[in-house]
Amino acid sequence: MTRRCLFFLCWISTVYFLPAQSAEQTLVFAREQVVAGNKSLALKTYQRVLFFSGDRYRDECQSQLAALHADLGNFEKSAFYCDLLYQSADSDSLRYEALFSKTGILMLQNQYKRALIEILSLPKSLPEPWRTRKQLYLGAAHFGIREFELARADLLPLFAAEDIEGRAEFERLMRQAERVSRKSPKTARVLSMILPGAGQFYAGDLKNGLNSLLLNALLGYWFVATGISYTFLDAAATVSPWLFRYYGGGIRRAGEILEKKKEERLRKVFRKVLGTMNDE
Amino acid sequence: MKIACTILAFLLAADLLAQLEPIARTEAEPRVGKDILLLQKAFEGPRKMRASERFSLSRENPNELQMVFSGLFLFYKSFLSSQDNQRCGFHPSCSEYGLEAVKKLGVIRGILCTCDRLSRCNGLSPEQYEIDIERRALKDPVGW
Repeated sequence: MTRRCLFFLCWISTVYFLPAQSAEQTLVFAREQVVAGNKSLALKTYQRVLFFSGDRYRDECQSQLAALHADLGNFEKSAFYCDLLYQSADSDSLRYEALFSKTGILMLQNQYKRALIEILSLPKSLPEPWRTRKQLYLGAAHFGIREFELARADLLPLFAAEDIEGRAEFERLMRQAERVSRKSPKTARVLSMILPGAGQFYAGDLKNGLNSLLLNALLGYWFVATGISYTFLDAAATVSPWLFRYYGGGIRRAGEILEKKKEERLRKVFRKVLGTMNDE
Repeated sequence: MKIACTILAFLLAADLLAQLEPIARTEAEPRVGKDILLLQKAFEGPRKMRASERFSLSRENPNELQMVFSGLFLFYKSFLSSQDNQRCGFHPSCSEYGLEAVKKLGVIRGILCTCDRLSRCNGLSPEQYEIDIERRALKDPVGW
């Protein structure tokens, strides 16, 4: 009997203490992978820790999973983990961080309206570093949806009162943004209707403007030459389909080019605004 | 037996206690500088394709005939197609298809395939093609 008991005891102890990787060891391994830059492996390891350790390392795992998914370009999954973290985190700082991370992800996807909704869900009064971040993101989201007055109101307090140069530069850039956004695609199309290529010149695209002007001039010349050589009915039958194709194309493209150029310039202006803040 | 049972009970109790370990609290550090970098990246916009990338099909011509076709393709893409009102509903577009067909199938079969494609580029039978959702175009790769 004693032998049996001893055998049972030895067996149960051996089985119980069989060396397996604990959650802590897996977590250490995941952290090492992050430091080494093996993001895919780190991601899988954090997922394993999250699954097997229950709630013990939940906050760190969710936070890291969100960051790793964002680094790997899986923005939707990253936003999902940010949401999870926001709902389950114990500390306010971590919840705010999750919300700012999600806002950043939405900004990277140019979803400014969704980013604005997220950032507006933060409490009105926040402790200092978070308040500055909120102002910054609010300003960026308002700029993204082209609400320049609101963006100015959000971002101007981020400049120190004594930083007169910075403030003046900021005001100048905001005025420039307003000027750029005032340009209308309708005007570009009408200009192209009057003179082919003029809409493209108005949008600031010299190459396409010249191309459109020359192409239409060439087709116009062909129309007149055919009309003089034969009859204008022949010219209309042969040249006008081409002429209208490229004349109409020029009009439509003028509006598209203007929208694209406006977007590019506004992005550039906002990067300059951020540059002035970075110098601080 | 009693000793074995006591040890077993002790081990199980220890395991239960280990499972009741408190949740590791994590605090986040606010980081305004990194936010500015992230926003700068967000406002960078899509990367512009270089001309060499856009017209990659027109490179590497093994003979003069293909060089001529590549030249025609480049001219059409740069000066005519960029001003056109109409848009090809296929991917690859008809001009890209033509160049690719000549490169892959040779001049005669390539020209025949291109003529066939041009005759099909009318949007009358979209149900016969698979749809490329990203490009919003009908898939029609070069094939004989």
